[in-house]
This record gives sequence, structure tokens and C-alpha cells, in this order.
Amino acid sequence: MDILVCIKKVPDTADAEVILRSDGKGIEEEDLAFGINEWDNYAVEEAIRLKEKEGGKVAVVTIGTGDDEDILRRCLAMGADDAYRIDSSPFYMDDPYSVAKGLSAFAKKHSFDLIMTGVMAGDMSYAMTGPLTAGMLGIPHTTLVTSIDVKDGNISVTRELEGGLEESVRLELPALLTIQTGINEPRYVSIMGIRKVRSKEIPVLRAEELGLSAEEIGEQGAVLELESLERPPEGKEAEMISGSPDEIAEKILEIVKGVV
Amino acid sequence: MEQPYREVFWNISYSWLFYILAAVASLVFFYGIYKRAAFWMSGWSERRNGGVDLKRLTKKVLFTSGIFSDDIMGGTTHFLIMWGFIVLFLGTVLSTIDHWIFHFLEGKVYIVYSVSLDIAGAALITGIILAYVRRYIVKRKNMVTIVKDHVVLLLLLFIAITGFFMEGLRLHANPVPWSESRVAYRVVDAIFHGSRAHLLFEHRLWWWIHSISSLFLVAYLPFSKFIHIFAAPTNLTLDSMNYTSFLTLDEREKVTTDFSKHQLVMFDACTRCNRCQVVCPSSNAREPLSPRMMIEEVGNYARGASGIPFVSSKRDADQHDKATASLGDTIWYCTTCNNCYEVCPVGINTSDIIREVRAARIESGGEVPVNVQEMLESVYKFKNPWQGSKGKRMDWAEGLDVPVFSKGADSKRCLFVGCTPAYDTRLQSVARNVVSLLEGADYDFAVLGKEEACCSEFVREVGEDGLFTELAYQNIDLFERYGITEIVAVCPHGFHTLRNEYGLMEDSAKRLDVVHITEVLERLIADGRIKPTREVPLVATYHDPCFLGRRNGIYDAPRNILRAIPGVKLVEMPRSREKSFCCGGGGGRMWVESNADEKIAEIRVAEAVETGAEVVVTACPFCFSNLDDAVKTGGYEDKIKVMDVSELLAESVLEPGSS
Ligand code: SF4
Ligand code: SF4
Repeated sequence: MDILVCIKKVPDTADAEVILRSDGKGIEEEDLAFGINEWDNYAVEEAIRLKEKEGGKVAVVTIGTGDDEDILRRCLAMGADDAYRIDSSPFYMDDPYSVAKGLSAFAKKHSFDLIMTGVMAGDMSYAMTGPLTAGMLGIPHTTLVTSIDVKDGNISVTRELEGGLEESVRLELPALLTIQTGINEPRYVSIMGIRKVRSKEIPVLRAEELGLSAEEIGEQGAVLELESLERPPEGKEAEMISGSPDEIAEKILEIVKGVV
Repeated sequence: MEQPYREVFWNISYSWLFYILAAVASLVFFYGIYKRAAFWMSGWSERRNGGVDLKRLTKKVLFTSGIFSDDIMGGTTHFLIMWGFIVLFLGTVLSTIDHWIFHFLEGKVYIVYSVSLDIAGAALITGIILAYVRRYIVKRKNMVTIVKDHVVLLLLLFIAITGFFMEGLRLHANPVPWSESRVAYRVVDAIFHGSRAHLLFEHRLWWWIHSISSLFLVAYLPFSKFIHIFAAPTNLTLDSMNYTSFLTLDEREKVTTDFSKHQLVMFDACTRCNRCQVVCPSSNAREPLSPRMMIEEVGNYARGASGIPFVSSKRDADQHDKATASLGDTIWYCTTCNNCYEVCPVGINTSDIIREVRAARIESGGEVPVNVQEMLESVYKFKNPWQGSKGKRMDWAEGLDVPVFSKGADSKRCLFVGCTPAYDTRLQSVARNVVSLLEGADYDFAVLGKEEACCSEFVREVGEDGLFTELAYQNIDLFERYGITEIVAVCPHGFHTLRNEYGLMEDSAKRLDVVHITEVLERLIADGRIKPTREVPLVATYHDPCFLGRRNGIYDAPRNILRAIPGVKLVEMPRSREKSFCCGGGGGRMWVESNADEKIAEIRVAEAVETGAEVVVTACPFCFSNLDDAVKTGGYEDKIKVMDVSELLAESVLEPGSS
């Protein structure tokens, strides 16, 4: 079974102080650490596990700059067989339609039985790229996948629903799945492992090679346009408690006592 | 009067048979030694950091100081057996020289020779008896005895006793006018009776029995516990040369074997004396790690494919997948405290072996605890183990005026803050105190600020040398860029790594002068630049961090700081200095949970409480958090609290609330 995993490099903003860029259309990147999007990492691990079980090959692809190749190499070290980079310069990356056009054009040039990607990317959280790509390819898809089982040309997957419910779905291959975190425990990739694949070539594809024109994928062809990023207004209920840990604990206790 | 001497093959016919047997035994012996040596040589080469330390070697090898420490009886036992054995062996060699090369064993020389051998024989027998007393009468705790140990001991005993029989019978059957081997003579008197012809027969019989068992011992030696006769001195020699098992990434890519030469020698040097396990903090907390078993199991794996007869077994090699699988979780419990190494009489560095096994586990994609994995990923991504963003690395310095290299600070001296004092909100005060104390003393320094990368000590200890190297180079590049020649490290882990390990990969790092903050504070106090004047009336005990103490021999600097503070009364725990009991946080253990009932740190806190101290002082952020947690989880909150040396000093020096 040949699998394609679409991945993306994103900043880790969990603990970081996010500073908006002055044009309001992005964030200051200087102090941020970048890495593979968490959901995508689970997808890559799942693809490699499927390959280890079912045979076939795993390819990974990203639309990005040369700086993004480290996440591709990391996937190669994890066990992916091939990695491709689609040069992102003509793409309007804030529009998932534009990204999906690139990915689907790439997928069409190869034949994959299964395409996977993370449920969403940690930066913009659209959760659209996967479904849009499937739509453009005209293949079935499902989202929020938490387990995959392959049976004679079909796959059965479970999906995570609200309220702890799970849904089982069967899809015919080829199909596209968006993978939820927690589906597996991604393996650790050592620096030595990454070094071992350092000489492996990563082909770089340009949009025209995929039959895409700058108008289609650039800002003018965008379906969705990013107007501005803003901080949510501070909620009235939110109160920042300051002081030493002991003082903070005491104040919280008082508040809780007041409510109960 | 006839000159005292002994005819070598007196009363013995078929001496050629003896030579044939001796030749066979020697062949077997040399084959065995060759196989062992080939096994040792099959490892990769390590870096040597020094020449042979003869003084240390003499102490450890000839006087077996490691066996005596804390165990006089064990030391005596081994000393008697060892020297008895050596002298008797030399005796045989001398007699061979005397017989074949040139004759010198006669007259007074012969008497001295003969008496020495008698004494050696008696020593050997006494030693073996003591060995059994230790095992079965005194019942020294924690000793492990396996069948093979009896083979070795009884064989030696048998050879020694039959040697006396033989000598006594010779003297009975052929009385000599000089006095010789009185003890043997008497012993034989009591056991053997009969005509001269009978005694001559008995002599021949025991001569052959003695000779054959001795030759058997020679042949058996390389395939038994006796190999430590060669492996232990070899290991101690390598150890005294301060080898470090470190491979650059290029080298690591090329090596095809799992262990270094030195590490392979370690496996053969172990005598299963169990001293390591007695002191191991993990074993003490009843976790499943036993350093002795670790050496044995990993050694079995390593020897598995070496083809040493009776020693290696293919099965052992197959059972372990790259020395990792069957060891399961146990490899993650080691705190790399090096207490085992400190007490090992033959200089086995178990944590070094464990790190190698962990590396094999990581590189082969085996089970790595999730927390360890997250820590590594955090170091890779954020350059610190605490998932702290780069932007927050200088949060600790808020409100302080700290010179930063990237902002043009002009200094050759770098205060290496370390990730834990920088990010851990409980420990940021350590960094703040240190800075205030240094600035108060007009001590020139600057920090790397947001550019500082994790020292990666625990990254190396959990076996991720690749990541360790990458981070180390980031720091080394910074040191070069800012022309830094001197480092003051706040955390002992950074101190150890920058001081001892960065130089392994880059020459410029070798020239760095790396000191720990306690050394600097001690000096500044001595020079009168820091004046602890405010009374701090406290009974304090000092907990030696492993990476400051055992790893780097710094025991006095922190104690001297405490002594300089008026009002502080310093009391010692039973296990202090070289014998310090680890807090349980080294070598990546901060990220490995255990299910043991009592945590390592709780054992330590209990020990501190026993001394009657009101505060346990340490000089390491990891020790601090571990002990501090243990004070809470162990329910000692009303008895003791944890402080950093700098914190206590700051109380005596700084205006309250100034940092
Ligand atoms: S490693 Fe050293 S201390 Fe431990 S059992 Fe072996 S010889 Fe004894
Ligand atoms: S280094 Fe410490 S924790 Fe590790 S095996 Fe030795 S004594 Fe035990």
C-alpha cells in the first residue's frame, strides 16, 4: 500500500509569548521554535506503521521553503521512503484552497492508495486542507481518525466524536484521512537517524511542473484571504492573580470558597 | 655440609609426561587469553585523556584498596589469596628458571625461597578459609555466591594443601640437614605413616595430583572468574588513563560494534562482588535496577558472539536485541550517580555501560519512556528540557541589570545559567541570587541570554549523543564568537559537561576554564569581596550533588561557604562526600517515573532529617527540586527545608528583598 502524508512546519506556540506582527497578518517568528505540526507527526507515524504491516511505500510532501526540509528529513529518518518539497514561493499559504490545489496536483502525478494528513495545523487551525484535497482529487475522505484497519482493499477507521463517542467508518481506497493526535505514540527520531538520511535527495517541484499557474494559487486566486490577526479581547471574568505560588494558591482558595 | 636446595624432579619419573601436560595446559591458557584479548580488542577505541596514574594504580591493584574500603575482612581475605597465589606462582616460575636456565636456588637464597613459599601457601589457605567464614559464618550481607565461585575457591585450596603434602612427604622420605617447611613436615607427620618406600609412593602420588590440578587451574583460568586477574588490572590501568567513551557523530556512524574496548574489558573484570548494588540509589529504593546484574547481563550479551569457550553463548547474544530488549525498563532507572563506580574495586563504570545500552535503544527505535522522549524533543526544538520558549529564557533576570553578550557586554567570562535556574520558577531565585552576589562583589561576567543552549548533560546520559553534540556545538560556537575563555556554571550538570565533555569534540572547548559557582563564591568570600555578615542561625547539612562531588571532586567549596556564614552550624550526613547518596535526579532520571514505594530522594531526605538539621543545603537545581519534592511527598515539611548554597549565602550578605 502506497501512502502519501502531507505535512507542514509550524511554530510551537504552546508556551511561547506570541507577538503579532505590525501589519497584523502574522506573528513575530524570531523567538519561536518551529517543527513538524503535531497532528502531521502522528499521521507520519501511522503511515509508517501501516507500511511496516502491509508493505508498500510512504512518501511525505510539504509545500514550503528550503528551511522546511528538516521536517522532511526527520520523516525520512522515521522510516518514510521518499520526501518531496513543493516550492511555496508562488503559493498564497494562508489559503487552504491554494495549498490543497498544490497537494492534489502533486498526488495526481503519483498513484497513492491512501493519503493522510493531520486533522489540522497548529498555526491556523483551519482543518480544511485535508478535506479540500480529497474533494479536488474526487476520493472519499474522513476526518478525526483514531484508528485504521486495512481489509482487502478497504479501510475501516474509527473517528473521534464529541462527548467521548466513536464512529466506525469504512472507506474504499484510494481515500484521504485526517489523523487525530493520540492515534499512536510517534517514535523518537535521533539526530544520528537524521544524519543517516542526510544524503538522500529531496526533489523540489515547482508549481508549473504540477500544471498550476501563479494566478490559481497566488493571492489573486485565493478563495480565502487573511484580513488580520487579533488578540481576543480580555474576558471580563478573567482575573490575573499575581504573587508567590503560596499567595496565588490562597487567593484561588478564597475564590473557590466564595463560589461554593 | 650440603647446600640447601631442592631437586626439581626428585623421586619423579616420566617427567616428560609432566612437560606434555604443561604444554597442553599452556596452550589452552594462551588460547583462552588470546580469545579474551581478541574480544576486548573488538570494541571501538575511546579517547584517552591522560597518562597512566601509577600512584592510583599501585594503590588499587597491588594494595587492592578498593576491596579494603569499608570491608577489612573482605580486603584481608582477598589480599591473602591474591598474594599467596602470586608468590606461589612466581615460585613455580623461579624454579623453572632455576632448573632450565641457570641454577641459583641454593643455600640462603633457597631457604628464603622455601620459607616464602610456605608462608604464601599458608596465606592462601587462610584466605580461602576466611572466604568461607565470610560467606557462611559471618554471613556478610549482600554477598552473592554461585557454584562457579566454589570451583575456584576449592580448587585453590586443594592445590595449596596438596602442595604442603608433597613438600612434607619429600622431607619425610628424604630428610635434609637444614630446616625447611616445618609446617608441612608436621602436617604430613600426622597424616601419613609407613615405610620409606610407602612415603616415596605417597610423594609421587601427591606430586602428580598437585601438578595436574595446578595445570588444570592454569588452563581453566581464562575461562573462569579468574580472568579478573588480567581484566581487573587492565581495566584499572585504562581507568587511570581517564578514558571517555565518546564518539563524534562521524565516528559513531562508522562503528559496527556496540561497545568500546574499555567497556568490553569492564565486563570481564567484574567479580560479582556486589559492592555496587549495595550503594546504588536505585537498588536501595527497590527499583528493578541492579548495577551488578546490568554488568553481568550486558556482558553476557557482549560476549555472546565472541566465541570464548565456556563463556560466550550465542543464545545470550540473540536474546538481547542490541543489548536492549530483555533489559526492559531497567536501563532508564540509573541516575548516573557513579556511586557504583566509586566503590567498585576493579573500576567498573556501570553508568558508562548503561549509557551505551541506552544509546543502542534510542538508535534502534526501541522503547524510550515518553517523558524522556518529550524531554529530548524539547531540547531539540527549544534548546531546553522544559519546553520553555526562547523568549522566556531571560525571565529570571527581570528587574535585574544583567550584562548579555549579544547586547555588547564586554567580558571574557560567561556565567552559564543553565536551563533549570532559567525556567523553573522555583529556582529562578538561584540565578538571581548568584547574579546579585557576583555583582555585589564587582565580579566581571556576562550571560549568553536567549542564545544559551542546553548543556545537554542528561541528553548525553540518556544516550542521545547526536543531539548532545549538536547542542554542544551551538554553545561552543557562542563561546568562540564572543571570545569567551572562562565559564562559571550555576548548575553542576552544565559545569561537568562543559568542563569534561565539550573538550572531547572541539579543541577550543578544551582550553575553556570552567568552574562551578560555588568555587567562585568560596574565593570571593576568602578574598573578602563577599562578606557574609548577617547571622543565619541554622543547623544545616550539605547534600553533595553527584556531578559536583563524585564526578568532579568538589566537596569543600560549598562547605566552606556554609562555614563562612555566621550562625550556620554544619552537620554531616552518614553518607557524604565520595559516599554521598544521590537525590535520584541525574542522568535523565528527572524524566523517568518509578513505581517504587519510597522515592530515592525520600530516602535521602530521611537521612538528612536524622542529622537533626533544619535545612538540607545543596548546590544543584536538580537536587533542589528532587529533595524539595521529597520533603513534601515524604511528609517532612515541618522538619526540614531545602535551600541552595547561594540562597543561604544571599541571606547573610544581601539586603532582604534585594534580589
Ligand atoms: S561491577 Fe564492580 S562492584 Fe559491581 S559486582 Fe562487579 S566488581 Fe563488584
Ligand atoms: S550510576 Fe548510580 S544509579 Fe546508576 S547503577 Fe551506578 S549506583 Fe546505580
